[in-house]
Amino acid sequence: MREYLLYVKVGDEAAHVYVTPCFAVDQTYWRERDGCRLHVIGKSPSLALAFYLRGVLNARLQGRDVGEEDIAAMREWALEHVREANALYGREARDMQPLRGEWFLFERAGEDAGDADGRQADEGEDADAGREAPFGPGAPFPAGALPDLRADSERLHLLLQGRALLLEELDGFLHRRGWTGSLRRECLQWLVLDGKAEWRPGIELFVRWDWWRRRLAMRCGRCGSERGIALTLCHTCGQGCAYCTTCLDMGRSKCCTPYLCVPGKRTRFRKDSAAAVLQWEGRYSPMQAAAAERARRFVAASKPGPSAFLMWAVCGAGKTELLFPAIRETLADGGPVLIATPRKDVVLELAPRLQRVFPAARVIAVHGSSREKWEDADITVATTHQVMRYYQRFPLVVLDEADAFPYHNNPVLYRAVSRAVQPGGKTLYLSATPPRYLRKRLVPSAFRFPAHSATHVLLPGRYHGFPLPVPRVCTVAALDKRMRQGRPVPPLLDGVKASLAAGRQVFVFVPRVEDVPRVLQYLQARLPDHANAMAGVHAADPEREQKVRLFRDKRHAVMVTTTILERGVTIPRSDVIVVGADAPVFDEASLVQIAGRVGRSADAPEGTVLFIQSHRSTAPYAAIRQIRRMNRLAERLRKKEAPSCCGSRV
Amino acid sequence: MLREPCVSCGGRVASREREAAVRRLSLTIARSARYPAVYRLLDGLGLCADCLRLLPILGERICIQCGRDMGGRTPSLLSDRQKCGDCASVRDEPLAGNRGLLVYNEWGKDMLSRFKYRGDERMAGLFAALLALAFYRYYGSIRFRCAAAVPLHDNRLRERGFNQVELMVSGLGKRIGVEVVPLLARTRHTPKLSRQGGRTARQESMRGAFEWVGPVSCRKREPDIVGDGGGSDVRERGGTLLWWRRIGSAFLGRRLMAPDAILLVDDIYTTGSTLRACAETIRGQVGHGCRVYSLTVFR
Repeated sequence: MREYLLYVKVGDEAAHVYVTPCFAVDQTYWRERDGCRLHVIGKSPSLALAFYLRGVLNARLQGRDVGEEDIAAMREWALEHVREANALYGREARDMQPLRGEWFLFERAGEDAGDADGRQADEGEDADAGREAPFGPGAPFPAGALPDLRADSERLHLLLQGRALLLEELDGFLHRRGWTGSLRRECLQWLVLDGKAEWRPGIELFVRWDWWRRRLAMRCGRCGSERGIALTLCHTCGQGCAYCTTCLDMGRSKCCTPYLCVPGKRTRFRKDSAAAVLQWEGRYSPMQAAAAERARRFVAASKPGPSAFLMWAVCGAGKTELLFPAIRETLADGGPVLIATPRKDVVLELAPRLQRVFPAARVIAVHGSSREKWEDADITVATTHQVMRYYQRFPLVVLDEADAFPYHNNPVLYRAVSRAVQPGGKTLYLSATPPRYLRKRLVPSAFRFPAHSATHVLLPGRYHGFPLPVPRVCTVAALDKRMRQGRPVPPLLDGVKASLAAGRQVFVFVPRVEDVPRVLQYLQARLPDHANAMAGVHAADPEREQKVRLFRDKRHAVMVTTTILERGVTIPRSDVIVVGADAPVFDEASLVQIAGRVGRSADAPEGTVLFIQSHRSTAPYAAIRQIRRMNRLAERLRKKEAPSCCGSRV
Repeated sequence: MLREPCVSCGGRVASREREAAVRRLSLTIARSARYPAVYRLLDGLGLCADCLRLLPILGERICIQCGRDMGGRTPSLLSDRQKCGDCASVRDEPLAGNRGLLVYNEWGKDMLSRFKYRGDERMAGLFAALLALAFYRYYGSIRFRCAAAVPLHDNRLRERGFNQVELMVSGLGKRIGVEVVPLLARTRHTPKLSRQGGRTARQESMRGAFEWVGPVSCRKREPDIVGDGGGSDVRERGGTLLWWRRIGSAFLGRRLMAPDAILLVDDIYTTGSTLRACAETIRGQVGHGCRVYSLTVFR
């Protein structure tokens, strides 16, 4: 079990409290700085408690001068806070028994330490501050090993730059990267003292005022969430402990697990980076060219520019291609690029595509089970959760489908993305249906839909230049009951029949997983001729990928699906019917995305979209309004642009 | 409770089909007298209707020693009390018997690894309830003196932070009203069983890996191990049970009512070498008159 020592550094600068797992390193480090004296306050096996005390004591010090009597007072304060934390934790964990009598153990530096202080003051020997510690490794680090320590910590710093790892992950990471140094803990502490790294407990403790009493609050240091933290009887530290259930899939973040964040190196600003070679034969439409140029300019702008940019492009506008100039610009500056996207299949599809376009750059795909997870690369394509493992690493982060499921209303993931950006770096949001909070932040006037501004560009037309198909709405009273009883629902049946007769494929979207088999059976019973060419799919379906592949291969003509196929799937000649469009899952953005499945290819740009609802609801009409508005804007732009080509004035 | 998403698939728990699924499962598991308890356990399981339906419950025909599923729907009267090939070859069996509830398939692997390796301690409730179901299915008529978990070695415990079996047992004890007492400690740090190959290798590595740490009162064959009555709920229930037990033994004689059986709990029975080593250690201390039954979630 580890123990963490709490000490206060008194010197020329303001007094400050530090936490260390190996005091010898701190002594050595501060010995090199003149006029520093270290006074031990105490030690605890609980990392979270040590950091809590550090925060409290630093707040109480507030940079004033510290004398001998203050040190004794600080020890008293520390003890008071430990008592309080014990009582508060005990109240939260009523049905658990502490393993060692108390929830948090804290050993205050003893009274004899006072003598040591006095003696030391007489001798005037600042460096031997360790002698005052009645416990712990008294001697500073052996001078002979010091050069090694420095060299090793330099190497470690190079390896760890731009990463945020739990200590357990760190072991695996260093093992994989062939790290051989033995003084890992000491090197890390050296980096922390040098200000090159930060560390904190996986779960941080606080004491807050509730509305009528004080309460223990906890926050996950990694994902930042305060809810979903579960108390646990931890045998690792034997202290009061807790773990975060929100980011559990990424490894347990606990009170006793140190979490290390190492900021990445700054961009080097060399314009001749070899990785920045773009080999792409495709061509932009005038509208696309203007948008891509705006994104590139945003990325290339000097530091005090806007730090976030929204690329609002309708479904089927060719968003990925629009990124190429911006990525090239960043690579030319020597900076790595991160593309975060919600789904693993998109990662797997996007990485090879980017590799083809940027042949000289190293592109890696990072997802939960990827082998390249710990590598360094020029372009990193990652799933959203993996972004949590990066820390101030990328000068450019692209957030694909910023409104999609894991991001939407999820502050944890937005926080993860903003942490992966270097200070002064840029974030580029891509979305067809940006949520309100993104629009409010980045689109200057939400009513008039300006085509571009310093922080956004709107691309209302598809790459092939045809307008988006506008959905139709049908209201069928008691839709659910009708289908349960097997009575005909004419709009649905006629729609499916017409599409099948025209040789087109049909998506039938339903709101819930339970509806998939029901609607499928209904359709099969009602349209027996095509019963074999129908399939249903939902997120947990084990044959999901196979079914989608068969649908792509036109082996299935009708696909009944939940919202999982709402994005990322392109079927050339297809129509869409939404059954139960009034259900709350189908909000405006979702319906716009669904309508965007239709008419994506240049040779079949038309198709029908039908929303069937049982009550009148707002979302379908709002979606139609949005689609119409986009079409109008595209039309206006096209008229403006028609005479000149590739102009930057849009 | 039902507002929470399904523990296994994250879907909606409350649905119309769920009640029927719970009822059907209760009927497969419960003998008539235990039906209410089993129903309540299944109802509070936190799984949705689909996951409940897919629960890989062991069949009716099992090996009477290790509880393995022997296939076949209904037990024929002649071949009913059979041992499987593995158990038939074991001599000097220290375990009086083992019973599990579920077949160890992909679902089980996934759930157990989420609990054990990923450290989702919220799953302890689910596993405790599954153990309680197995208990009511097979051991409902046996009176147990106490229940104990298979221990982890200190190093492993420190690495993992918790003993998954201990969490399960404490939940089980609350549900079935049996006192949970730590009886054993692991003295040898054996490599992970799943990393070891072969049955004999496992048995070899397990020999003498456990040590008795239980209370002295357990050694004497007094039923009175509930030292300090009072405090938590469980203890009180244990106390009432003991009181009834004493009355019972006054009428029926010690042979029938004296609880000289100990319940040993683990998460999974693979070859049984761990449980056998534990049982040997316990019987060495408590005496050979004591029968050690084991209960696992997966078999």
